[in-house]
Amino acid sequence: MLRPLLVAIALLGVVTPARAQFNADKLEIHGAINAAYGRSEQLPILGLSSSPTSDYRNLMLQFRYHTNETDQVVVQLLNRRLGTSPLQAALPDVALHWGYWQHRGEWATVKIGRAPMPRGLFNETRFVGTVLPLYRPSFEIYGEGRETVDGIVGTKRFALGGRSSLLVHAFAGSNEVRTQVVTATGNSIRAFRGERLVGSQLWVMLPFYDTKVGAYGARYDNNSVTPNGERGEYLFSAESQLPKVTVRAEALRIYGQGPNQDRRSSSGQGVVHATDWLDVVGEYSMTRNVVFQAAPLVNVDVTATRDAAAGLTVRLPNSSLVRVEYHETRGFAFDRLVPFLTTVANVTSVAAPSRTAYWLASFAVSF
Amino acid sequence: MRIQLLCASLLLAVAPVVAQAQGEFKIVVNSASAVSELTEAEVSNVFLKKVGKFPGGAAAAPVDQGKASAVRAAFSKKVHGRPVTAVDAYWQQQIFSGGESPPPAKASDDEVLAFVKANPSAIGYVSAAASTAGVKVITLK
Repeated sequence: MLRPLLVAIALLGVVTPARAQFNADKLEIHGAINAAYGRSEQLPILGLSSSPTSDYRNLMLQFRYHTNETDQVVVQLLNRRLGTSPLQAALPDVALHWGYWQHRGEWATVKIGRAPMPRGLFNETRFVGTVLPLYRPSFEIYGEGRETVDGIVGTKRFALGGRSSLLVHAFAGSNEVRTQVVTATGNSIRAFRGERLVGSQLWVMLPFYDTKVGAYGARYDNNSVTPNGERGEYLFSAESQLPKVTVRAEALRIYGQGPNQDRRSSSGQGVVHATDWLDVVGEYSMTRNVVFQAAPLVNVDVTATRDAAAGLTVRLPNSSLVRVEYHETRGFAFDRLVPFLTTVANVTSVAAPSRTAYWLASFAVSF
Repeated sequence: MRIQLLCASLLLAVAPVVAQAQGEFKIVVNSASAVSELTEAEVSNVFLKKVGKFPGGAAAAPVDQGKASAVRAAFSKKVHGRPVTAVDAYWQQQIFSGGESPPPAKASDDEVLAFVKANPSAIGYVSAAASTAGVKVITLK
């Protein structure tokens, strides 16, 4: 009885002055929706099965309250629907995606709370259809999770003369990952935290063709129900916006223990801006994974996924668009277990990759 | 002599184009501001909120015009080197990556001028024909 009373008193203490200070001019509301209709032709993948679904979207609502000229509080809510994905059961209908206080100081900008994690070209905007070239950024590079940092993120920009600059993000804290893991014995949903997380994302902005080159690195303790251990990851990124074409490339490695992992992914993408309102996109991504096995079996290095995608984006007024895309995926990472490894007389052989093709038609708008 | 004549002809041919590009808008700051000239890159960095201050160290509060306005189109192309739609996409990326939010956008030259007059840190732009009494017009280096 005492605890609820104390909580109520504490809330009153917080809420009453806040209401008294509320100023509507200082509040910004932004939103984005990325809603799709899709189907996978053979195997279920990323929540798409042979039965088409429209239960597939990301919706965000963002509130920014400027407490003064340098400080703001940002809260972002996220609703995700993943069709028939087993991961859907591990995700809340509405999540507090971000919640942080931001201070733009003399020397740097600091965010404290649950803030977006600077990682590669698209991590922070991975659900925002209007700024993505396809429905989602390459799954091989971005996967699920590692979206935010529970802790502190600092950002500092250094002028390098003219339009060149160096942008440095550094972060520390922990983060949360809920993901679907494909192993030799089956698919499972794992929720774990990356504790004692430290990392940095550097960007060099160059004056020609809006080119930027980035390097990201992080380490953390992988805390899950399986044996814990230290993980490291690094990611190199590059983007250049030529007059009619945007090209991007990224390469990622995640390695360490808890359980053992050594994953290398890469992705290349070209976007042809055919007109002011029409983009044509091509993307190729792949992942190689080491499957660690107990002695006397030897580890196996497998090309886990190859994904080739093509898409068309038609830009509409008011920051909205419609998009169609087609993917052909070969490998072993699907929503259903497929033939993978076979061991006979201590010799492991890898099955032929399975294949599926899936398509998505989506609508995105943001404001 | 022939080369000098050629250079002079080229300069004469190019000069109106440059003047036209700069002549479609004027960049204005509060009359109390110490800022009198900026490079295009410096103006762009302030309006994209890549920096929060003018080169001299004073705080900068940019104010934009509406997305559909002709003066914004000219300013965007000249200063940012890209169309308004590309700058809009930049702001969408900033908003949803936890970055800055765009400057306030005013519906007319008069509203921009009123904002600049009322705010010592303000910087805005208005069409070349607008009266700039009470504010300071700065030059692009």
